[in-house]
Parts: sequence; C-alpha cells; structure tokens
Amino acid sequence: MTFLRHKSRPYIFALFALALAAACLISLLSGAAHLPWSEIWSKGIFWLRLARTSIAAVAGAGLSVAGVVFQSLLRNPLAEPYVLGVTAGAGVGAALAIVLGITAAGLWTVPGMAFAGALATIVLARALARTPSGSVPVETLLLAGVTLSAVLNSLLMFLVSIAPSDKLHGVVWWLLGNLQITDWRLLEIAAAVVFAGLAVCIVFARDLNLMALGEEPAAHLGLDVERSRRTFLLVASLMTGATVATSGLIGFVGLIVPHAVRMLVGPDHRRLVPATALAGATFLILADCLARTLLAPIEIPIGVVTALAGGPLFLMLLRRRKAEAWR
Amino acid sequence: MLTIENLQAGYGEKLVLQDVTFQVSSGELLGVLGPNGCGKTTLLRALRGTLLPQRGRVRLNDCDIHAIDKQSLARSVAYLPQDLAIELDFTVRELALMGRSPHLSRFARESAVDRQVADEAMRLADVLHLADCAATALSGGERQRALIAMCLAQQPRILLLDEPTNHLDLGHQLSILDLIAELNREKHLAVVAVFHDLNLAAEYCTRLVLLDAGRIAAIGTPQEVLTEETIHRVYGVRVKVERNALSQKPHIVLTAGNEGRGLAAVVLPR
Repeated sequence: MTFLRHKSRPYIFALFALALAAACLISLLSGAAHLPWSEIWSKGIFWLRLARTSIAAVAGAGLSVAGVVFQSLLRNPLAEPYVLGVTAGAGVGAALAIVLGITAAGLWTVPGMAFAGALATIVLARALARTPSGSVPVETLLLAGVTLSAVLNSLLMFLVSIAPSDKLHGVVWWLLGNLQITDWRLLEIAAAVVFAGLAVCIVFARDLNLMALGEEPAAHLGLDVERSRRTFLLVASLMTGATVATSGLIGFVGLIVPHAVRMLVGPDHRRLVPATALAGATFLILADCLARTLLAPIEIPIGVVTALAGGPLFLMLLRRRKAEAWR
Repeated sequence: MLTIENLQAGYGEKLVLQDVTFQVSSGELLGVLGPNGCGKTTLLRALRGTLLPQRGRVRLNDCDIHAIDKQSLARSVAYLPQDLAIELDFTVRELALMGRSPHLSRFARESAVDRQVADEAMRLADVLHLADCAATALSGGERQRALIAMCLAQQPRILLLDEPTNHLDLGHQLSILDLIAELNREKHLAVVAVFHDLNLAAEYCTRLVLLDAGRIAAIGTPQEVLTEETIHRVYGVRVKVERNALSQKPHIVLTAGNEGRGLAAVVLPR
C-alpha cells in the first residue's frame, strides 16, 4: 500500500506541496456567492477567503500533526486529540475564557487557556489509565479519554447555557468548528504555535519512531524517554490548544490524515510528520470548501463534515484491529 | 563484565529480588531459570538499568550502570523484550536501522556505514530477504529474528534476551538459539537469556542461574544446577535427570500426572 515509501523525499514533498497549492487555489475561487472577480476584489471577499483558507491550513496541519504525535506516544493509530478528550479539554479552557470574558493575558488568554485545558486532560487521562506497575494500556486510555470527553462536553454545554445571549451564536458556531476569521492576530498566534510545534516534531522525528516502538524499547535504544514523552505531550497539547482557540472543536482530522498519509509514505516519522502537515492543511481546506458550497447558501459546520468522514473510519479501524487481535 | 552485587529490587512495596549476587563474563551464555513470577524479567530489567535497585548495584566494567549515559549504555547492552508488539508497519530494514540510534548524534541521519551494519545484522539474523517487508506481516519466528537484527545493529557487547523462543515452534526455537549461540561464540557476545524450557537451557547455556522467589537457588554449570533435588525444591515436581547421549548435557525427563510422586515411565532420547 505504501506507494511512495521508496521514493526520495523531495519528490514526495513536492507532490504534497502541489496538492496543497491546488487546494488553496480551489478554496480561493469557491464560495457560497458566485461573484465576478472584480466584485470579489472590491468587496474584500478575497481577503476573507484568504483568511479562511489560512485558518483551515493552520488548523488542519496542527490537528493532524498532533494526531501523529499521540499515535506514536500511545502506539496506537486510533489515538487522536478529539477521541482522547484533548480537544474537549481545550474547548472547556477556551469557552471559560470566552464566556466569562477573561482577558488576563490579552489576546493570548483564549489560546493559553485552551492549551492548559488540553494538557490537563491528557495528563489526567494518563493518570486515570495508569496501572499500578506504571504502564498505560492504550485501550484503557482511550476509554478514559472518551469518558473525560463526555464529561467535558457537558461542562461545555453548561458554559454555553450560561453564555450571554449576544455571544451565544458565536459560541455555538465555535463549538461546531468555525473557520471564520474573528481576529487576524489570533490566526498569527495559532500559526506561530503550529509552526513551532511542527518544527520540533520534524527535528525530533527519529525519536517519534523510537517512541512508537514503546517506551521501554525506546529506552533500550538509548532514548531519554521521560524527556521525550514530556516534550511531545506538551507540543501536541500546544498545537491542539492553538487550533481549538482559533477554530473550535474539529474532530477526527488527526485520525483521517495520518492514516491516509501513512498508507502513502510509510510510518517513518521523518517523512510522515512533514507529509502529514501538508496533507492535513490540504484536507481541511478542501473539507471547508465542501462545507461552504455543498448546501449553499447554508454553511455546514466544518466539525460536522470531519466527524461524518472520520467517525466511520475510526470504527472501521477499530473493527479491523479487533479482528487482528482475535486471529 | 557485568557485576551484580547484593541486588534488591522490586516495584514499590513489592520486593521481587533479594540478595542476588553474580557476575557475567564476556563470551559466556548465561541462562536465567525459575518458576513463574520468581523475578526473571525483573532481574533482566535491573541488569539493563531500566529498574533502579532498592539496594545493591549493577556494574558494567566497574561503572555503576545508572551512572552511564543512556546512549552509550545502549551501545554496550541490547535488550530483546518478551512479546514486543509492533503496532505500526515499520519494515524490517527500518527496525534494524533504529538499532543504530545509539550510534547517531541527535540530528544525524544514518550513514552508509550504518546501513552496512544494519544489513549485516539482518544477514546474521537471517532476515535480509525480508528487509522490505512490514514487521506486522511477519510470522512469530520471523518477527523475533527481525527484533534480534535490531539488537545486533546496536553492536552491543552484552545481549539480554527475555524468553527469546516464547510462542515459537520447535524449529524456530532451535534456529534462534543456534543463532544466539553462534553470535556468542564467534562475536564473543555475552548473552543473558531467560528460559522456561530447562532442556533448551541445558543444551545451549554455559552457565545457569536458577531463581526461586527472588533469590538465587542455584548457580553454576548445567550439571551443577539441574539436579533432581534442586528442581524438586524449586518447582515442586519430581523429574528424572538423565544425560543427553548426544551432547552429554543433563536432560530432564518427565511424565504426566506424577506430581512429585515418582516416575512412571522414562522416555530416553536416542
């Protein structure tokens, strides 16, 4: 299945970059409104579309790479920020800031609280799933994540219910995944965080390979497992937090994209991480095009699109793994 | 090479190993035996420095194993864990190359030399023809040999093996142990391997350590360790110890349903 596995890296990345460029072009040219170019320019619609495309690219790359990191650390292709409850944790953090109007850290408040929520959730899920001997069985962790996710979602619902009515529509849309621009500077922050996280993952990609073998085997090969785990959990939480703060709760991107890219380039993270970043951006941009145009002028929330695509894939993978385990 | 002094180790409150003292010298093939839960894996983890001892210490060439930097320790000691499941479909070659990690500096990519070493490791472990196969698609024996190739690519001086023949059929058991014995002889690799099968241990090992409830019950050559009294004391079963006519090693003969009450029939090897 791994068609591109033995091709050289520049060739692979050129292909993925080309796909991303095409997706950007499609996104800039498509919209609910069928307007001539002159009007798109003069009414500033172009800038709106550009902003939207940028947000989709940043969020898609961030969520996908966070997915790759979680999958390596937990040694399970089903691990993903949304399923692990990390997205919901980030959502509660961000919603607290939005609904209660906290602005302690200025523009960084919402992303900061989203990050704190994300990190707290994954740390809590790990603590809940840890056995007395210190190992963390993945199935238990997924269960803990799903349960935490349910609890955090009801917390989110509560926060929505007490939200002042003037903020209600915005908050609901944000919950469903929203790629409309609210503040250019928020996008800049998210982009900076995602790029920084991506850089760390590319530089330490070989360590992600070792971690994917399991923590003890990685330690046997000389890796400082403690430090790697901390670094990567932090990076994945940061990327998830930044994404959730700008574009809300978008599920399953971190599952779909790494799965597809792994089939194309193989599991070596030195290829997988950069390819996933490019493919993640491409995927979310295209998903957003669908969301905007499929039922135009009605806009489908982007989180609905990704969940409808990703949920069945998750179940399919789960079934296949069970079948393998019983064979 | 490895010196274990008064080792006491365990998990939290639970004490698993007590008063364990022995040495592993270079070029020897040491078998670790004992009933389930007697601390075999714990001993191996303590030897690797994965587990911090509560008392006593493990030294590698006169240096406390916990004082050695992680990467250089991984250049000296390789560890084959029991039942390592590979979840992602890394190829055999990718796994063997991961064995080069302890030799690479942080940002380096594998050099031509590293590739050569990995190829050689795969050739020794007889998986070179599977180099581009996904490890998830291999049979149990092939996967175990792929993981041995990863260990060999580390170019260690000590190889720690936790039940290397677990779940394998007779043919694969012998081919893996022959490989390990050959590496031990030709590359002077010190090997410490956990065994469940006493006869396999007797055939292949130069020396045996028999653990019982976390303490050394017997240590020495297979002839010294595998006696009828010792096996009865440790495992609680009566067996007959014969001599393998072909290898002159001790050979344990057992029958069904004797439960320590003497032997009904004896099946001798030809």
